[in-house]
Amino acid sequence: MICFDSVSKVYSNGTKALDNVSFTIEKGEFAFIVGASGAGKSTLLKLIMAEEKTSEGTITVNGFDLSHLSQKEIPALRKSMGIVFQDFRLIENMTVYENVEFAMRVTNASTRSIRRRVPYVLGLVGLGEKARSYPRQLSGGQQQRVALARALVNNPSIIIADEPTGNIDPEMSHEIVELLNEINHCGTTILMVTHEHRLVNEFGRRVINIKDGKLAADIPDGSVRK
Amino acid sequence: MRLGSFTYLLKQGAKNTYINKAMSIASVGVLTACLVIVGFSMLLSENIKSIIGFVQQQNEIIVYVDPSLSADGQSLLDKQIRALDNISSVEYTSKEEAFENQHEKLGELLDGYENEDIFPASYHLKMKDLSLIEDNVETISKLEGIYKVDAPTDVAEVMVKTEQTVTVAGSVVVIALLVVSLVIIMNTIKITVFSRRREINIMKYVGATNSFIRMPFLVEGMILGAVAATVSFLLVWYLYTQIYNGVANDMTSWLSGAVASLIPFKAIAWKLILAYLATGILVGGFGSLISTRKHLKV
Repeated sequence: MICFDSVSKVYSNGTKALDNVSFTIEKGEFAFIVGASGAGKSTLLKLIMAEEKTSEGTITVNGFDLSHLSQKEIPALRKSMGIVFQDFRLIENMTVYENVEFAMRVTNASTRSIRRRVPYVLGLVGLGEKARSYPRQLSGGQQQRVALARALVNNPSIIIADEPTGNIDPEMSHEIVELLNEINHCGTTILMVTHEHRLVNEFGRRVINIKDGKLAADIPDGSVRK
Repeated sequence: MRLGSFTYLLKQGAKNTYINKAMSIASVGVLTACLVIVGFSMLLSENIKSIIGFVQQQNEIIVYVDPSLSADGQSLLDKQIRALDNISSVEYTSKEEAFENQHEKLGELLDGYENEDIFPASYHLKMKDLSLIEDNVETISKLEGIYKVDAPTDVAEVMVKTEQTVTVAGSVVVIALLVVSLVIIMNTIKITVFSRRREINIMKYVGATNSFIRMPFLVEGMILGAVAATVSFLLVWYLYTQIYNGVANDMTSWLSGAVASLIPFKAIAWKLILAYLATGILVGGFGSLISTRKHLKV
């Protein structure tokens, strides 16, 4: 599903963000990526989302060889995954419904399937009543659930979550990860970057620890110390 | 692309025009100001040319016919003059008519000269293109039965040079204004798109293709261009008509002929609205496409 093979990334200013990182995440797995600030977690996600290219090594995601991915193929890769960000990244002038609808529109889905699927997914994340609200009218936790609904709506095989609990309170954070956990139980692969050790320990899933751009530890069903 | 997706993108473009009211108003304002200034410059240039054309029309070649020319010769000369190139109108005055005209002015001084050939028959010729007056005079002088040719060649030269200067200066001013307007409009659209770069960025992460993102921006740009074109047209219509009526109603008689040669708004209304719509829609649409390009590289 996601395969890193001896991946290194050196930026144009000479910064080595990742150094010979290799790991594989199988279909249906739930993995946390942990590490201190500047360890290389964000670079790792940027590589998966094809925002950056590797300097060395190969990455395969959902059958796409990212080392040889052309600009035109990037939308197809991104449509095959759902992405959740720390800052939610909702379009402010679209309602909750429209934000989720947009993700389906880019896949050229029919209006009929959109009308069926969007309310269903909003119901799954507990926001059925908020469909007509705008993001600014929602709390941080609710906005993140909209982002999660948007990531889910196309039924992706992978969900990439970049510190999804970074901007919300602890109680809501637990709910968000719980939602991701439920989604994972339905067969979706989850890759979540976080620095909240409490959550990682609580859910006891695979932990990939990045330190100074290198793979420091890969613990199946593990936990990390504070 | 499905029809549903296409109509969705069209609706998004129209909706965004309303949602981003402040930037829409700014874009329409700038585009309108530019279109009105360019439009007025063109109208001014065209009107000056029209007035010069009218003044040129007042210049004529007067051809006096040799009084000793036979009737057959007169008939041949008449045909030759009427067949000349570059002549817009020919007015013939016979010997008798010439005498009558002068008799009216001079009265009894001419009594008793009725049967004398004092005044020759003449032709008053108006030209289509005043710059060719010398060629016309030369051709006419060579015809059989010509007594004399009077032509304001010096005045014609001045008029032709004035027209050429107005044409060149008018074109330079209009082109310069167009270039300045384009730069201002492009920058306004760039600012509009820049303020929405985050939106574009999000769309890219959701997997939208470049064309999918551009389409609503294209529609939005075209709508703003069309609105600016319509507002400009109405403004120019109102202002031009006010000026036209003002000049026409408050003009001394010696200039009334020149005023009559001003271009009435009705004569240019269709051309103006079509030119405005084409310019507004093209500038708005292409401006949006070009401005979004920079933010699509995510």
